[in-house]
Amino acid sequence: MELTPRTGPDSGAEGEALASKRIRSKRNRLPALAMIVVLLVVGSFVVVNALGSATTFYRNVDEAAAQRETLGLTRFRLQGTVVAGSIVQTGEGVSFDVAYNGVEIPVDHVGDPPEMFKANEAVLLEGNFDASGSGTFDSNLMIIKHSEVYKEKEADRLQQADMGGKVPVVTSVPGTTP
Amino acid sequence: MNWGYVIASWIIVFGSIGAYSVATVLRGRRLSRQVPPEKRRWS
Amino acid sequence: MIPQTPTEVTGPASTGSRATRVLGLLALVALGVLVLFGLILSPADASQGESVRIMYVHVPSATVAYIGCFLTTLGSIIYLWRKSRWWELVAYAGAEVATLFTVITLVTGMLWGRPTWGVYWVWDARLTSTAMLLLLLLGYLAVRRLPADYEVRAKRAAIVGLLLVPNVMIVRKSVDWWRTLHQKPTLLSNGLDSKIEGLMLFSLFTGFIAISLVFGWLIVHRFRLAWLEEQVESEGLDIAIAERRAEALIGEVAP
Repeated sequence: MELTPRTGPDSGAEGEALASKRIRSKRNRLPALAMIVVLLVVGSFVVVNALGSATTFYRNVDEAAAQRETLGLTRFRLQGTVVAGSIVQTGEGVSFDVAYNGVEIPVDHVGDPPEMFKANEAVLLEGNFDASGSGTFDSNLMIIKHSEVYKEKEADRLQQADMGGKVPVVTSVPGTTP
Repeated sequence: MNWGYVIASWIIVFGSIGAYSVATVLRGRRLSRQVPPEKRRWS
Repeated sequence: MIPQTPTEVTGPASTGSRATRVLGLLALVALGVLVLFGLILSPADASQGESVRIMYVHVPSATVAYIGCFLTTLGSIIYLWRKSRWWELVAYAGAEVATLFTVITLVTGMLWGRPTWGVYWVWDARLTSTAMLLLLLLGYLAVRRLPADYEVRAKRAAIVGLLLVPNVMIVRKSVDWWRTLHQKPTLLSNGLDSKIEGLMLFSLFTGFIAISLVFGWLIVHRFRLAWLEEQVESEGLDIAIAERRAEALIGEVAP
């Protein structure tokens, strides 16, 4: 039912096409525009997050040890390899040493470590140096940093011996998991 | 151990690819009826 | 709408063709082989255990998502340069399929992260840039669908499409440029055979073949669907104009 007056076949047809297009546009534009606005908001949130944390995502053990004075009680992520034989269960979690580039830092972790936590595995720890000044790192969030190397579970042990030692990969050696 | 995560992710991969494929093919069949055959020349 | 009985049509009444049927069959066979090797024949990882099997779908999905983004940027460039509709539709098909595989990459990545890292998500550079890639793809699709004339929609979308490959390069390089929780690539780096072994490497290879075939099949179908969508769109407009014209003529003759 079209009520708009028409002057002629040509202009009427074109006007009609435009009008129908306009109606369709109004109906469809809102969700798409809302989507774009939401994307812009989420996008800027993600970018801010990226700038804030991705660039200094973690500090290696040797860097953290060197910056201990300036870091004070600042919360940061510490990256290092769990030293074999240093893992001790504590009442509220686990304590162990992490090493990187020949420097070691003792860690006091509160909470259950992840399933994959074991000696010689690289870990990220979130926390800060102990307020007592003992140089211990108090952590309450642990993430396992897995390497890009994959080894078959039943692989020949001799093969693993000549790996070159770039990234230590450990088969499930009994006794190392707490 | 961890089979749950493996199965869940494989189901998600196969399920989402399958669902998207079916949706694409069905929509293609529906739209094909509205388009004259000389304008869909693939065979 | 043009009345059409299926027996009369010369073109196929779907987005399928002999080529896509062959491709689809190959893809199904490859997926079967992938299940066989990825879930059954390949061994567990020495340190990760069974969760390494997520890699066989996660890594190929990410790769074809990048290829989809590449198609979109390429199509966008050619569209902006030559106003080629064909390439614009390739760009559109690429973006939608890339969105599917980016979502798959993120979800399987989260399900892999929980058992290996201990967390589903961290805001490291690799994960953050991948999230940005997904947002950019969704933005492309939203802009492409924002109602307007074809040329306007296509141009707006193509400008967004130009950003996809740079974003993919940031994703790829993020593990080298920044410190990330995400590991560096296992493949495409020197010393391949020392990083992944035998059946695990073969399973990953099978994953690449299977997911690439699926990707190719999806791209062809999605491209043809996009072609049909554009035909219906312009067809609908032509018919609407013709109808109005006829209506107006009748109105003139017999008011």
